[in-house]
Amino acid sequence: MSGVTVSLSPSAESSASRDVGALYRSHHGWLHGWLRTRLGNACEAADLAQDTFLRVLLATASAERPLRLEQVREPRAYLVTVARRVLCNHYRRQSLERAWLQALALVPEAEHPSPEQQLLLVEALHEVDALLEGLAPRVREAFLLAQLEGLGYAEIALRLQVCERSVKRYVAQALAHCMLAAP
Amino acid sequence: MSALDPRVARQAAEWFVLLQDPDAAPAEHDACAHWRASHADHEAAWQRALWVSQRVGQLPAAVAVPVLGRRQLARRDVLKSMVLASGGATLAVLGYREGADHHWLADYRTGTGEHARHTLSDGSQLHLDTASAADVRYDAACRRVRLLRGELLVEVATDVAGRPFVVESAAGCAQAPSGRFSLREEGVGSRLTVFEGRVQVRTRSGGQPSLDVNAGEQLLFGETWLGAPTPADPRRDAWTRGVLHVDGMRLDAFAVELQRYRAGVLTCDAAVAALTLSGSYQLANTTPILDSLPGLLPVRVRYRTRYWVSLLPA
Repeated sequence: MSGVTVSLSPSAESSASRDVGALYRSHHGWLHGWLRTRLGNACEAADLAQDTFLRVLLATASAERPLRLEQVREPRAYLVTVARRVLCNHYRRQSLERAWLQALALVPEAEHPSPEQQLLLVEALHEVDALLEGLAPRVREAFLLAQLEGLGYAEIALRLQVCERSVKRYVAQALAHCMLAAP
Repeated sequence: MSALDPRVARQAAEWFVLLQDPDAAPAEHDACAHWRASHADHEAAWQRALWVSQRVGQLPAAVAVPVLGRRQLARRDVLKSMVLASGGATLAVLGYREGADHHWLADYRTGTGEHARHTLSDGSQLHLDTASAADVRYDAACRRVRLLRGELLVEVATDVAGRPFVVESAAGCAQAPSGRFSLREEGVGSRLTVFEGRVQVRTRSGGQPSLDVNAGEQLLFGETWLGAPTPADPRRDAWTRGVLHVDGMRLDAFAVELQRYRAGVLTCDAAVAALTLSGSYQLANTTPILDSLPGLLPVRVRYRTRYWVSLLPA
């Protein structure tokens, strides 16, 4: 989550960032340990601990419903909730990158897209992957076949061995899910 | 974006699914238009549905479907289209990243396989090629067109007020008082081709001095760099007449070019990639072009589905 700029209103700035600062000082070491036992890697744990606190900071700066840290009773339970989301996102990224590298490994190196093109393509894949997060595999599959391969509903129904009405329901469900997940 | 009511999102998604079916009746399109117009939230949800569809749909399918679906990649065709991804499909991704946020709200746009011509208020002509979008902003000082994605060609009318005509892209801008030139997003940068007049090109970063490009020349440029002008094929503008003109073009490059006008995936086997072809092809329907290839070259065309076509050795 590097490169994110958080702008706080002048009055909120002092108190919110002070609170996040206090939270950081009291619990950062503990959270880092919590993440390290799960990841088995101190460097990754440090990165994800930063991400977790950055999310908290962003939540306090939310325009619609700013998080008020003084109302958080169990800071560590709250941090774990946020850190679980960060972890989940981390694993999703890793699995997507593995799938991408697998795809790339099957292509002769001379024909690889340029590193810049790869970076942009993988980022675009990540964006869509994040939107699709949480969808059942079958729903995801139906949606991808419809939107990416442009297959008709009847053909998707054949492939997935379900009726055409189910396919339409899956695609609508997936689309609505992505619409709500969109930033 | 503001919060979306899940129920309205679901309704918009259901309309979208209904209308995506090629068999949707005109009455259903009308009903959807009515639904959209009946509440601002409906229209906002509809735009969001289009945004998602656009975001997803512009990924190169043959790579994105297995990668996003976490499926094992094994089939040879998938690999071939990955190779193509380094040419055509990635470019679509790059182009869309720049323009996607505004694309559906763009002043002028075309879908895949369409091309369009518009007369602007000063009499200048704006042509849009397949899957392209542009905004037009005229004010007292300047006539400005912004290419959001795809390719455009302008025939610039001389302005009585003497305002310059500026075409902007992600890479920079091209400016001329009159003339005829095209700008195309190519992922790594924008390609300027000048057919008439002389066009001044500047990078977005402004780090380089501007460069004049003459009629009959083309040049690729990025945000921070300018390529060298090279001779341009004078029939490079044939798409404005719905024609693709090629002269000794490799088959794999031809497939990438044709892909821009087709939904789905078009792949070219490495064994036939270096074959070349020449001629003029009507772009209104690209399927007859594919079907004509076995008569011209030692190739066969395999349709796995209507949307997944492979060019293979005969």
